[in-house]
Amino acid sequence: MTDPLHLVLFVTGDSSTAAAAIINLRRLVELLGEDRCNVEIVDTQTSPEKADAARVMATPLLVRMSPPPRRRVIGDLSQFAKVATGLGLEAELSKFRREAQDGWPGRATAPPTAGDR
Amino acid sequence: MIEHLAKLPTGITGFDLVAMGGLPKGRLTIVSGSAGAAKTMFAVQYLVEGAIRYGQPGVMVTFEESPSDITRNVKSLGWDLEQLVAQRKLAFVDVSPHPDTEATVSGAYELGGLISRIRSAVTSIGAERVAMDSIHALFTQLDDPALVRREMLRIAHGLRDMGVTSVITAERPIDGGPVARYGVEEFVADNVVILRNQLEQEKRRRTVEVLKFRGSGHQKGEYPFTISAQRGIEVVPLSAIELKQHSTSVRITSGNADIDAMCGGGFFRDSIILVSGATGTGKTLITTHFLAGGAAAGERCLLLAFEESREQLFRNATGWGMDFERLEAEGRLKVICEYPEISSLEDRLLEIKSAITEYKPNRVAVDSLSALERVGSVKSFREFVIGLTSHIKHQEMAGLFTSTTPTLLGGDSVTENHISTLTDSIILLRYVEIFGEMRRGITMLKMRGSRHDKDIREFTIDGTGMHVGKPFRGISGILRGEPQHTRASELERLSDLFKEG
Repeated sequence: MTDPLHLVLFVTGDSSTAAAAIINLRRLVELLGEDRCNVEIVDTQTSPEKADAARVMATPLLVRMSPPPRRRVIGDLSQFAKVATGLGLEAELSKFRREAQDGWPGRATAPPTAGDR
Repeated sequence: MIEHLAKLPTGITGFDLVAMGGLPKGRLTIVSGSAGAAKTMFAVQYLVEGAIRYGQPGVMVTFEESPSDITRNVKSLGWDLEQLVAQRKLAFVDVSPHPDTEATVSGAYELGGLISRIRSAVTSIGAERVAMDSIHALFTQLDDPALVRREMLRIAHGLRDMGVTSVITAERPIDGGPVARYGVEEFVADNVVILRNQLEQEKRRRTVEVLKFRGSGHQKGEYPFTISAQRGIEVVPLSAIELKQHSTSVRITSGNADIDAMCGGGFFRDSIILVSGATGTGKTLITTHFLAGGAAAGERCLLLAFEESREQLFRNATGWGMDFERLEAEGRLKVICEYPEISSLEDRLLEIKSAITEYKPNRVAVDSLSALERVGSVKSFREFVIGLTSHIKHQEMAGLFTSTTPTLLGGDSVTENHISTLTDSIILLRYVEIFGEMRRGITMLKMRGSRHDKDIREFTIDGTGMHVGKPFRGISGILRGEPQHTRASELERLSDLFKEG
């Protein structure tokens, strides 16, 4: 059995991008299988030293810590294909690709939230 | 109506004068320049001076070079950043590119993580200063210029909330172009400082300009600066800024009794005297009198010689009955002899100021200014002259400068054009051709604040120096270099014209 996938999501406060990233991360975990993943969410405002260690600049930032390769994806994770390639998980997620278009497979797109944009 | 915001002194030599106190406190200033203009050095020096001179900790946010690269690069300037970090006077926020941090983009993002890290660093050491280098590198790392601009505004607000005074460096594509790439000036255009490094007549000329400060004053225009080991950036402020130039009415000897008489009792103690004449007319002699006379009166005298060698100068002096070797041995005279070409004018000015600070003379002589004229551009030379005369006056010393007129009989010199308004006294030496003989004339053209002799007098030189004699009569046009003899009858006619009624 493959090692668990250790993912860390860095967000800043409770911005709309943070909320969207958390929702999309949950969807990713669903698709991969919950028992497969080990997820940690870090708020850079409350844990800046962890942000320093990981050299965080843009948030949200999803880091694949292990198993290798170490990969990163910046953004609210709304584009499924980019997340898949960005994390090096194309093989495991390829079965969902046809449904995916650009958003996440198997769900209605979330209504646009009034953002801080 | 300009409100007067508080200023934070940077500690960068000379800059705080140009900036009239320093950078606007609690605000963000953009430091913009083309490649190689010393922006990163300015940013680092801002933090180092803050830490060492004012005990104000600082945070360095680096988007381009790694902290270890920066630390290594500034070691040669004598700044030990590792030590400052250990002493918690400096903290780095490392946002430099790193293989680990390459990322794919999926969806919208912002720079909140960066702001959190900066805030954390500022809080942990109690920083009062923040430097960010460089905004260009941030744009390079991210793919969305509009987002970066928007986020920079947030960062600027965040910094303001933290109460720190910040600088951010920005690259301009070329000198004379827009302030910075990417329209950065749109959002952080309140306070702008520009560094330039321009090629001018085959020489590099570094200048700093405060383009604008919102809500507070600053000097306008460009000011030259140099970069040296141990002191980093040093800006050379010009006379316009040095406000406290009061004059004394105390007189000092010129070293020659005849010349003292011509100028109403001697030069003023904090005056600048220009001695101008063609080669061989006696400028070095007057300089020698000036130095020997000062030494005899118990003063410390500094000679900066760019025309003749030490041996020649000392030999000349001996020929006129003045013993420079003895004066030097007694510490009353210091002679610095150099080829003019070996330093740029900006470096030269700093060297001279150093020599003055070290030796603390009462009077300074420069023989000659004309030798330095050819070292830089016209603009550089003018700034050099202004900087030097201003510095000397500020120290309340007397300064005597010699200048060579281009032709034997007279004419204008470039030096004179620059310096004549800055000088208090001007002595002109001229050859006078009289019936086939070359005689010599001396006149006091200007003596600010005193009555002085208005005649053009003949003088001679012998083994005891200069002797000033009777005025030339019946000759006009001496200063123009075209002496013309006026006939006796003409003289009578002229004097009739001026006879009082």
